Amino acid sequence: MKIWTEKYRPSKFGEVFGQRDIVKKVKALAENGNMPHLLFSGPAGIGKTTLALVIAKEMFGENWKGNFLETNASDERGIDVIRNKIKDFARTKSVSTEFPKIIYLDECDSLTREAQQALRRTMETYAGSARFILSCNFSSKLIDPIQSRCAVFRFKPLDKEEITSVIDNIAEKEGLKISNDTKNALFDVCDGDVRRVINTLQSCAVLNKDIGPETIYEVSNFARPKEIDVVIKMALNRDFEKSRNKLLDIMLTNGLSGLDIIKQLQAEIIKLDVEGKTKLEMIKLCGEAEFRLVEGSDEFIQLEALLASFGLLQ
Amino acid sequence: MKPWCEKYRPMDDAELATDPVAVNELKAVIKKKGIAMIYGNSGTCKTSTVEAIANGGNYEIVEMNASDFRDSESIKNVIGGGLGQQSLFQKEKIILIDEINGISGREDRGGVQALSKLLMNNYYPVIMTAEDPYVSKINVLRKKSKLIEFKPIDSERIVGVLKNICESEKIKYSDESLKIIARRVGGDIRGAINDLQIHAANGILEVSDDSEENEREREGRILEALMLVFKSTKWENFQGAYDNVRVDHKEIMLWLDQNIPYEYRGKELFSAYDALSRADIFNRRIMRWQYWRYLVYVYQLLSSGIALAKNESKKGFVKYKRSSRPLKIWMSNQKNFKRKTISEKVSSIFHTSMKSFIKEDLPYLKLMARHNKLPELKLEPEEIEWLKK
Repeated sequence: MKIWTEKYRPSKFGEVFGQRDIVKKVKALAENGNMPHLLFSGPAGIGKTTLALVIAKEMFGENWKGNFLETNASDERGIDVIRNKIKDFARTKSVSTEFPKIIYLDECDSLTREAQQALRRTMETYAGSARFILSCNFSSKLIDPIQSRCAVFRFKPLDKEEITSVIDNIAEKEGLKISNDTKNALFDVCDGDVRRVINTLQSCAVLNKDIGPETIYEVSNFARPKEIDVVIKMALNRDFEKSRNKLLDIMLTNGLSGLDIIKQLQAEIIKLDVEGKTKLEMIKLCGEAEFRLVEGSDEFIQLEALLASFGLLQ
Repeated sequence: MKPWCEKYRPMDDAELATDPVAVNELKAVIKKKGIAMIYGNSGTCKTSTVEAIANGGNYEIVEMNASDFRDSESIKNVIGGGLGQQSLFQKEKIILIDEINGISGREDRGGVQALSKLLMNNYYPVIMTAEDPYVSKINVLRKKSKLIEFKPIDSERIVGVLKNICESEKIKYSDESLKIIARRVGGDIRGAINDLQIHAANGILEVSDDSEENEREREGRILEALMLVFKSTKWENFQGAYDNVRVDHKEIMLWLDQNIPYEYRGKELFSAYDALSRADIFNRRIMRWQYWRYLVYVYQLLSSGIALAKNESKKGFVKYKRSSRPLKIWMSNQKNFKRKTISEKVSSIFHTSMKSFIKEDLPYLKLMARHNKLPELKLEPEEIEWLKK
């Protein structure tokens, strides 16, 4: 048995779901053979990595692995990756093809500024032998000189119709029974993130091939715990100590960063059962906390400051 | 009586606690008769590793360490001879120049140059050890060497080594106390063995988390400072509250963070955390721009900012506690060690970073593992067991 996110990852331009305009343009660039550096930006799970892989497979055919370097900036942050790994790969000629090699650098927004400067130089120096495909969640975190060296493509979350076709395709091949209610549930829990859709489907399928909406919610609750609303409620009730302990607990057991937590908090606040004005206040506070968290060094202290401010609201 | 860290020096490379990758790299250099500079914090077995390899491979070591004079003359005499001559016992040699950082500019005048000259045509492998290879005075040497990093020894390994020593010294110990020692030394195995010897002097190992004397003294001072800041509202009382505290501003912040909620509620709590949060932003800016003048603001926020979060001075006794956060983080890292090894192994199959794998894919794999329907990922049995938990 294979993992479905890989099994159903498209390997041809024609197989990609969603991002139709982008795929069309990129395909033309790739076929033309003179592809510029590319920058893919957009949220997770909507096909950035997939499209990069498709480009490599379509351009290089069987030899794609030798001519394609995949690395991500979040595990191998910093200047060393750029200096060593990428340079080593970029300075040799591509194997059995006239196209330049492709270097895919994922999660570029976590590169430090110094590393981005180094990257910019590398992009220039090796422009003859290699093309870069950069991917990031927010292109604003990349320095201008990098953005200006790339053709920028902004990926959008897949709409309901496109997600449905992903689901139908897998359901047919795996012999799953999925009702419209189930599809709605999937759409509800996955926020247009295809990776999450497929992971959820495979997890549900180990339980039963006939998948009902409850199973979807069950799996999703297991994979993405909702305890964060407990933290908010404790903070609103001025039970600061309990709320911060719970928060640390959640962060450590699930390996979540401060930014992950802020995102979840924000989503929970919107659904919270309190007055509109209070919600608005909370969202504002969240915004300030996120700003400080990005600017600061100890994420947890920033989150605690946020929890303490919730205590003044009611 | 020998200190244990000498008595239990590893005899051959099978006994080493060092990262096997680094050991193999080093062996390769020795075999090629090359030049290597091995670096890492103290207690990461740099010297022991060279000695153990020499023992195992029947090499003779010609050593020069920081206690030797290392001016150009001495270097030529000791090493220069060693580099050319055949050994008396027909053994192969390894030239070990220990603690290269310790070559002094003044006393060891010309040492670096002499050494670098000798390295041009070495007949035997030359290994240098350094705590910090990027010090400019050894630039010339570094450029000629293969750099091999010795990472801090992980605490599980340290616990293993300590356990063996306890067994052969017939010491009564608990796993917990070994863990405390291992944790406290931060990857320095020599430090750990020394600690063990001190704490197990009478055959029973007793350590509690704060048993170190100087630790206690440090703690006393920070507790006084916290008292001034939390209790008083008078400007002159809390100005300079941290002057005598021997811990840095980051640790002060951890202490404040832990104890604010024991003293403050509601609006006070909010204002105190606001000050802490602003101080934290300055911390980052200091690090990023190396602009240390910001430290003035950090200390003001940590003293006045916290003290004036309240309107009236506080009475009553509150027992201040050390921050539990670092310990919790450490314990969770231990528990989630497998999570790391799994994601290191598997994240590339998913074409994603470890961080995003842990967040987006791992929970689903756990669910599949529980139902014994895990996809083929080449995981070890114990990793699969961890997923099922």
